[in-house]
Amino acid sequence: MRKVGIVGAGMVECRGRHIEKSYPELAQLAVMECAKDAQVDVVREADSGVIGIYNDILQSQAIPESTLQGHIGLANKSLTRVSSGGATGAYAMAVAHDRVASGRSDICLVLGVEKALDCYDFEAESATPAVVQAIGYSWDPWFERPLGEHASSSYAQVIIAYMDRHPGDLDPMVRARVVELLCGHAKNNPYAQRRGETVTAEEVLNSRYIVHPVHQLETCVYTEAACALIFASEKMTREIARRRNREPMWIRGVAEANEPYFVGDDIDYYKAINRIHSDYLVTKKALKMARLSIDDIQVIELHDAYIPQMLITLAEMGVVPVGRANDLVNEGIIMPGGKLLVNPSGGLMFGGHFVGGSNMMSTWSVMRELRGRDLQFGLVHGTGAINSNYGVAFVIERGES
Amino acid sequence: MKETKKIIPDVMIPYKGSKIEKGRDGAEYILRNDAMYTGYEHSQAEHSEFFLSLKNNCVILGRICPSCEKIDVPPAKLRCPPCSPPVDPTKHLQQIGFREMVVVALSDRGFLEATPPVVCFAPANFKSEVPYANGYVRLYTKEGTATNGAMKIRIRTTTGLMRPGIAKWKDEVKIVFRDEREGSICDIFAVPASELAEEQLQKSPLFESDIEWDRDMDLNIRVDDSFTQSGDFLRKEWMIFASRIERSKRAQKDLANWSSRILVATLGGDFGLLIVDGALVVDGCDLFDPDIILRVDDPKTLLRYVHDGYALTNLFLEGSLHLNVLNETIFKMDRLPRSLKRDGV
Repeated sequence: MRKVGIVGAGMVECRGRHIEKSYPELAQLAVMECAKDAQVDVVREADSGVIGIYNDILQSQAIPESTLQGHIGLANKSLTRVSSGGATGAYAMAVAHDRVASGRSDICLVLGVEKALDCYDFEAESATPAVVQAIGYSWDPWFERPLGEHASSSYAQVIIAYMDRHPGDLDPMVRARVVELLCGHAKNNPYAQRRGETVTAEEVLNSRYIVHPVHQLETCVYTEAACALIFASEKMTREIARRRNREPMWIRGVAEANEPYFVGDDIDYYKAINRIHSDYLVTKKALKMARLSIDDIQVIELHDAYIPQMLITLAEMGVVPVGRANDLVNEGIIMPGGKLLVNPSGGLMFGGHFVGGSNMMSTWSVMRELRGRDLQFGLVHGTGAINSNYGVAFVIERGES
Repeated sequence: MKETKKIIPDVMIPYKGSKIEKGRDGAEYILRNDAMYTGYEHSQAEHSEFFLSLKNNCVILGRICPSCEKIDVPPAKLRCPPCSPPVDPTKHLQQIGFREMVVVALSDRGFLEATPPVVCFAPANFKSEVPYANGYVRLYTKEGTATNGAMKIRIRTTTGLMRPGIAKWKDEVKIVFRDEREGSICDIFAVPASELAEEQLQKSPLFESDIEWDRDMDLNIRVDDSFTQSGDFLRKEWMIFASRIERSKRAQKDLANWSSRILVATLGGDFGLLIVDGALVVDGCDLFDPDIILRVDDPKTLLRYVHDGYALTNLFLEGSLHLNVLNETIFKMDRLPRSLKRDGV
């Protein structure tokens, strides 16, 4: 398997709504930014592409990627669309990695784009119920969708099942302090959807439950945006790094794992509802591939769809033992000055969650932090789908390897 | 004539038309009303046996693997991937894995695999059902062993609206059948066994009409003179709150294109709240035909909302506020405190 580098990243500002831009326009802008960042001529140098678009309903078009082919400079070239729930962005990156690692591509454009807030509930006079419904169509139509299941209820189910087994963990004030932390981080992200906002722990605790036990202000936001990355072979990574006069970024480890849809009592056969086992598996596998341990990781951009889920994920990753997630805050591990920098972009919570590309924004952020803070190893994480069943992890290294 | 219910309610179907909104760049953009829709005659396929059993026989079916003896419910797959069927010496190629599972009738009793979350904010098609809870139930076999798989099912309470704490991890539940069944997972729901009498627990099948519902839904309240002063204070605080909305664009936007008639009932007296045209009006007189009733015993309870911004939804879930319905009006009101703060009002 060949080494794979990441040679460029381009973002479009995250917004609750871009009424000024269609998703092809968002996509093209992200690719333009990425091409500029990498100093790569996409039309003449990229030989393939992978695109993450989560949900056709949100774009109001089936096979939306077909519209993009010419827009993003990949006319007459391979463009694979990936749709893997909330982890769509990370899964698209995994496919692009494999394409380059296998030798089938030397320069692969990776793009994630999503509209969302064009959906509208004409009864409630609000977009959100319609967006939630569009996501709700992800549940199986026989057994669970007719019950009104949706993203927040399924994550809340995992969270409350964890709390059943670990009473006292995921303390509401701990969670509220994490919201404050990410709110502060987002001020340093020029593309963050909520970079001007101030949210206090008290406001988090006062905010309404959208699904008990999850408060509104500890959930991620719906976002319209796009992000593009360029993955390259070792030879091209080194050449582009010289062209750009900066250190290359290498993908040292990558892993994906999806848990079963249906819930039960055997973790090898069913989804264990009190666990995010996929996070445990992918972190372990990606670190093993990189020949590192979790203690070597200095910055993590993880998929914080919900703050309590983010804390469970960090425990599943081995940062603290499962059942001791409160320590992440109470022991200062992820707090300012702590040993681990988590979601310096503000995460999906404050940065934004444009599902097809959120994990690509996380990658952009990890690379920025590795360069900006003179760090060596970072980890990018994606989760998603029903009950947080899908998991992806990347280990990224700055510099020569 | 039999009443018919539409899959897509009329109110959810947009009229043809469009509107103009200004973008951040000051230019005008068209928002055109549209919808993606497809009708289905959706085959229930291999699951038909399960759903027909619910509809016609009021029996819940699972599937058991003869090799590993794992029992799935719902019986979503017909074969067990890790287990292989017995070797057939007459065949050159043997089946590897995917052993055929066997249908098994299950009991209508079980327990919760986890505490069910309570949904307050629902997808568009389920708005009218909040607050609701779906939980994972592991049923018992006729012999009393628990299934390995857990079935997601609506959890209901006989006491009124669903709240946290009513159903918890490990709680025993009884499956109840709707009187009118159509062959869907919604034909059944679970009720905490602790809410049912012994004869109800013993009855199989137990029907929805066998149960007395909404036992604690009495929203009537009498005035207690000792609370009159705090009732007056609460009404004045609501008037101050309403005046703040007049100075907040965000709060006015929260209430835009919305109307509601709310009766606030306390031991310190009643008053009305009207939402109309982006404004909140406090009405000191009796409010006729309210669409929402907020009932608290001690008027001070609602000061947590008007003073501290503590969500009405949370007061309801915690049991200190009683509602006849949890709906979009409450959610819009719950946005107001943060909007006021963000506008510095």
